[in-house]
Amino acid sequence: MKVVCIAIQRPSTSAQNSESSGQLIWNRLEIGRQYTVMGMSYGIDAHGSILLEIPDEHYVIDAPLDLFDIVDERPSRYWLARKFGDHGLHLWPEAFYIDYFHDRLSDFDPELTAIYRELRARMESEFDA
Amino acid sequence: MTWRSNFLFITFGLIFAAAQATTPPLEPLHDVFAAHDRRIDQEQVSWQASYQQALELAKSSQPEQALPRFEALLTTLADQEIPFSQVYARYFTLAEQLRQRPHTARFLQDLARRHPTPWVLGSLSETQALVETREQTQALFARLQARQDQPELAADLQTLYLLLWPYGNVGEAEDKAAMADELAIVLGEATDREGIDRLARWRYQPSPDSAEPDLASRQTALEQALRTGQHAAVVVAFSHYLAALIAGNRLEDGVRWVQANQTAKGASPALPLIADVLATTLGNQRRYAQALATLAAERQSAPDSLLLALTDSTLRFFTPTQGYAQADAVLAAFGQRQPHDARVQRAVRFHRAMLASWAKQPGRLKRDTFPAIVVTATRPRDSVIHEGGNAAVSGSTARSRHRDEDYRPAGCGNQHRPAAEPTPVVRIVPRLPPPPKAKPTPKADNAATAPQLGKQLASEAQLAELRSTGGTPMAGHQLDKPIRDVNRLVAEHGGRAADWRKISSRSYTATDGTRFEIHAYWNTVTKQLVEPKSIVIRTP
Repeated sequence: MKVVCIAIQRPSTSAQNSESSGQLIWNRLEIGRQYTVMGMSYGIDAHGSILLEIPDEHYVIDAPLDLFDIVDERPSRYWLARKFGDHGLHLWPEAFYIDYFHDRLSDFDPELTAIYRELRARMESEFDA
Repeated sequence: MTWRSNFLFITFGLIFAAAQATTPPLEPLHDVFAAHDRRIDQEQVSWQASYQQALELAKSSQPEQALPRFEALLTTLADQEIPFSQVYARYFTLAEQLRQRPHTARFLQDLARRHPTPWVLGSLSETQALVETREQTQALFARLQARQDQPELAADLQTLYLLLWPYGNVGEAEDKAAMADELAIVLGEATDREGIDRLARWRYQPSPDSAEPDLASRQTALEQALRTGQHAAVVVAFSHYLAALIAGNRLEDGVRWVQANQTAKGASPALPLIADVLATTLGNQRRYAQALATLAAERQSAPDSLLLALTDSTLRFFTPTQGYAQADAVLAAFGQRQPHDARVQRAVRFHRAMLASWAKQPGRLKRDTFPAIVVTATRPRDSVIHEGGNAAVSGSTARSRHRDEDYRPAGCGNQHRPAAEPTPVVRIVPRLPPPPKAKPTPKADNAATAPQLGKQLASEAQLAELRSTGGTPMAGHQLDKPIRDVNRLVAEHGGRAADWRKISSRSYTATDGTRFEIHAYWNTVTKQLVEPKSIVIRTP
């Protein structure tokens, strides 16, 4: 699945502008740039936003679906669906379910960084053939 | 005697009978009052029980679920000021913690339509002003951070703006003093920091500033600095000018002057940035003035409302041209208005003490600048320097103290390990070295320190970004992305586990090609930024 960024800020009047993910502006995203979606979650925040796992250079960040348009609708074969809490659903690659994956990746953990790079490369070229 | 006795008995008997005829029997009244008391008790028990449930939820692992509970309670209690105030205080605190104030503005707007009581309208007025000024500020920072042509000036203007920005939190005056120290260090040892310090102190002064604003001379000095084009000189001159505009309540004049000059031929490229900062500050000023005007009308209709007095005080604290002195005066006057109401006196004492804790300046705390991690090992093949992990970070921030085996997951074996991944060696150096005492040859000094100064300035900008926006959350912001060190964070810095986020600034590439960003932990309730760490990503 690939998306293109259409905004880096949710409109202040949006009912979903909850700041629940801790930010109003996703200034690591670039408008017009295409991203491979590495995973997605639903029902994790208070407002039921769909959150996409977007690859940053060295780690992965999450951003709400309303900042993107879908340009390639095919889901990745690397995704595994797992329930989180009572209402949450993840479609994540297996590695993302490793304990403290996101925290450790943001600390440039060498092992997870290698996994992340390899996974990202595979997912980005998944539908190239 | 007999007839007299009979006469008296008859007389008293008649009087008693008449009294019985004019006084209703008391038993039914007792019953009526008792039933009324029971109803009050039941209502009290009922909302207190719901309130306690909401408080429990707020402390749970899913605090966001408490917000609708509080909202249901506020709707029920909208017509009763005291319980409404009690619930509202916890509601907006939780909303602040969850960064949901925009949502509370929408809720209060709807509530005010259904229950236009003075305290609901006052709460709405305050919340809307707060949310809108925050949005304006975030938009300003986004614009400043987008100015790639003048990053140092943009960063310093953002810091100047932050010196004026209220948090409404314990110890913020001290934080501003530390921020002023950092800016002065960045600008150089010989910096005239009076304007910077005035801005940092402005909001927290125990009495209004009576100093003459000397606006004309400050304006001339700024014009001269703009002509030199030296960014430090511009920042210093602008700090004086901004302080004078605020002290004289002349922000409008400042905006007019800058806007008129920025379009002139040969105008300094710094002027649009300065105009933006001034216009946003003036926008905040006007927005709070509008909220205070609305509130004044509400206070006329309900002069004894404690919640309205508190709101009035808060708005004055947040107004750029007012501050602690005016906010405290509102509370003091309200206390004098109702000297015999113990509840009012208790609340006024509490809130005045809280205001004082925001404005307290117990002496200048010269904080050590935070450490940076510099990579000294061979550059990996892809130029990415790994931090943490297996690297031994002696004396590092506690974030890197974990042992590798503590979090080694199952199913994450050696098959994924790269064949020859270099293990970097890292060391800690002070982020901002103090300016040299002896002044070396100017040319050589400038040549040697230019990239370093750029990095320092960028660090300041990144730190300011983190403080103001909360940066980009990497962990802790969603329940499915926990922070390993959260228990230690709570033990060392306080708060609750759910309050802490691990955040990152944007990346900055220095002129020497070094690329770095700042990672830190941020408490969403106290706005405390702890353990910031400069992460070098790419070596030249």
